[in-house]
Amino acid sequence: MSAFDGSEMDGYEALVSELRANPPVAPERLRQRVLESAPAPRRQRSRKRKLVLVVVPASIVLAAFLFWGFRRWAG
Amino acid sequence: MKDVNALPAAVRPPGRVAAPPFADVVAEHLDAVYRYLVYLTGDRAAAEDLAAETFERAFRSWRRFDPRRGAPRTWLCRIAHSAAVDWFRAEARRQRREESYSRDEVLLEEAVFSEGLSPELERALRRLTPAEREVVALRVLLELDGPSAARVLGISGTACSTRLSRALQRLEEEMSDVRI
Repeated sequence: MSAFDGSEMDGYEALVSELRANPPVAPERLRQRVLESAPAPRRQRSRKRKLVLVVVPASIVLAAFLFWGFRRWAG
Repeated sequence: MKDVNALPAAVRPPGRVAAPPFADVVAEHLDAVYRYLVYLTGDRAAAEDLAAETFERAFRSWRRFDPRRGAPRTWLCRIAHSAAVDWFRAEARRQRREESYSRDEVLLEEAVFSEGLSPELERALRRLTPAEREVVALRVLLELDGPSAARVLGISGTACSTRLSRALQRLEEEMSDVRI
């Protein structure tokens, strides 16, 4: 028999039912308090935006190096 | 009935892992965390403060939460457990400072655990130790499975199982004593 098969509750069905039927309920003010304390979620960046912010500047830098290298080689 | 120990469908491996929005977690688990803390502390005002603190701590580490390692409810209960341990230490210090501490008298007059419970069960719950009420809250009220409850309590599965058996037994004994 496993230690986790729930048999610890055998014989206490009435007690368990009464406890489960009457749980404490969080007051609404607590819900508001918790939600207000959480900062607004961070905006997810779209893939397109990531592409523009990373790939485009990298391409410009690479193109500049190539151009500069070509000019040195040609001159 | 929803399985509280299951991983959220959206985050089950092998798909890409993504934590659910924090507001959804609050909506789904606030009651559970509050119930756990009411049982553990036996003090509704403290449970409210500790629940708020739990979600604040949870929010700060939300990005590190890995749903593959456990259900959000278990993770939140572990944070709540840690916040409650700090609270118990502070309470012990406060009690030592204030000799005229009369919290127990207040507890005898008002329903702490639930207005719907029979007076015998309410009184019997008060007579349990916080550790006994804690395991009852996790396994009975929150319906965590054995391994998850053991993880929250930081004890072995066998110890968790034994603690629950003893707590339920004591609860019944205390109820009989109250009735006599």
